[in-house]
Amino acid sequence: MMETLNKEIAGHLSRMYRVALRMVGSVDVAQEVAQDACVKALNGASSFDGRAALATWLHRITVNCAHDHLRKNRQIDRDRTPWDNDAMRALAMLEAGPAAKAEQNETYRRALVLIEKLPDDCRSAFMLTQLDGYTYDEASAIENISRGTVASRVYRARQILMEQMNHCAGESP
Amino acid sequence: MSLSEEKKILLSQLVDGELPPDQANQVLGEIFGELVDVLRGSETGMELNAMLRLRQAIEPWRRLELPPVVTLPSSHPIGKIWSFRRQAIGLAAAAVLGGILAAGGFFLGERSKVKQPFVSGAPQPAIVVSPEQRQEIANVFALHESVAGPLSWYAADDSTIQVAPAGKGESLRQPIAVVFRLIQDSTTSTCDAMPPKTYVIVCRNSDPATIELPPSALSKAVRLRLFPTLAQGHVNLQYTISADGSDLGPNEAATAGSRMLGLDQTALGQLALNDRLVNIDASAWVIDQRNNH
Repeated sequence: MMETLNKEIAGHLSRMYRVALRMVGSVDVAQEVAQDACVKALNGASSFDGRAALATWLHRITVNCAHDHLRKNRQIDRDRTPWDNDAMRALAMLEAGPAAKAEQNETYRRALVLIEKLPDDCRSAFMLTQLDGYTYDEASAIENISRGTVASRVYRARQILMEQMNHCAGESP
Repeated sequence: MSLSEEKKILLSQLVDGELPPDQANQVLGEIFGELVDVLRGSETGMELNAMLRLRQAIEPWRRLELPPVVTLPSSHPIGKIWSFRRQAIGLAAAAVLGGILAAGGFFLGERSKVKQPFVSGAPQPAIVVSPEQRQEIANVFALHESVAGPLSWYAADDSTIQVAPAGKGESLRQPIAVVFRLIQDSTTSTCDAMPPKTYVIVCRNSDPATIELPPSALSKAVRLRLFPTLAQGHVNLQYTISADGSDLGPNEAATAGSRMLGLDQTALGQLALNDRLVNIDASAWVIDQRNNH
């Protein structure tokens, strides 16, 4: 049972790291938060009764660890963390590309900045599904809202972002 | 490229709404780009195209994986040591979890969060390996094996991790954890006092292991040749431990022997490096894989 749970936790690690990274905005700190979350998950494995999905349980642990870190480091605004250079450095780690990639990178950077400015409710649903990679069902369990509400919030976030990105690019909607 | 028969059958079921949801999603995902092209110019096509561009724009974030945190210390690997960079991200994930030994304060006085001030001449606090710490080591080892396959041995200090895969067909005997501690003898050393250095090793009963540990403030690379066996519930460890000394003179010191080890620390001997004497002690226990500690 423990070995199975260990394997499953390993499968979620990168997503836990992405959740941590977007909350704390630093690659080094996100690694530490993901590490702390793994410690807690492994040590608390006996308390995981399977009623919640593993993704939901691990997400909760990761968020709590990120909040603990932010609180200890006196970052008052727990829900909004600026995208610092590390987010872009993390992108650079993926692959170095030719000059044509520069435009893609700029679009990516612009999208991240605009996501941060979304209204609270749809920002959360959008981040969970589009950045963290949770399914609508998983996001529904995490947020404790219906799947339909997740879908409508993601849609609303998309509409806002597409409008703003078109505006930034000088295109007509 | 023409569609395969299998793909055509799937599309046929999709048209009837007869595919299970996960399969339907997969098929739709594969043909989505083509659908958008067909619909281009229509309002539906424009909407889908805009949504697709937005999703693609932030795809790099979804592809973010844990960056590597493991460094392989030796440029002359002994035994079968993986090059970390060739491994799948699963090993990086396990390596992060391997770092829990540091987060849990296991490496006392080193980079752990539990800071132990090093006072020259003061008796070093005995490491008591708690049940929780034994559980952590068991968890970490199990997790490394779950993502990296069966291991002959695992070695970690506060900043590096090494693993050695078991050979194909190699029978895997019971894992044995050994905690080594290197402590400078401050009464005889002529150099500045250095904090102790702790290494956590997991190896196999009756399987020899040759491990080169990374340099530290106390010494250059430390080489372990270990042969643990089980005897009456204790670990009988035959060992040779050698280390390169400072640059001041002859460079290698070694100690060898055989000890019965338990959870209490047992002295293994000393390494006479040029400007310092380093005491080595160890504790060991069997990892019970049924209960995972």
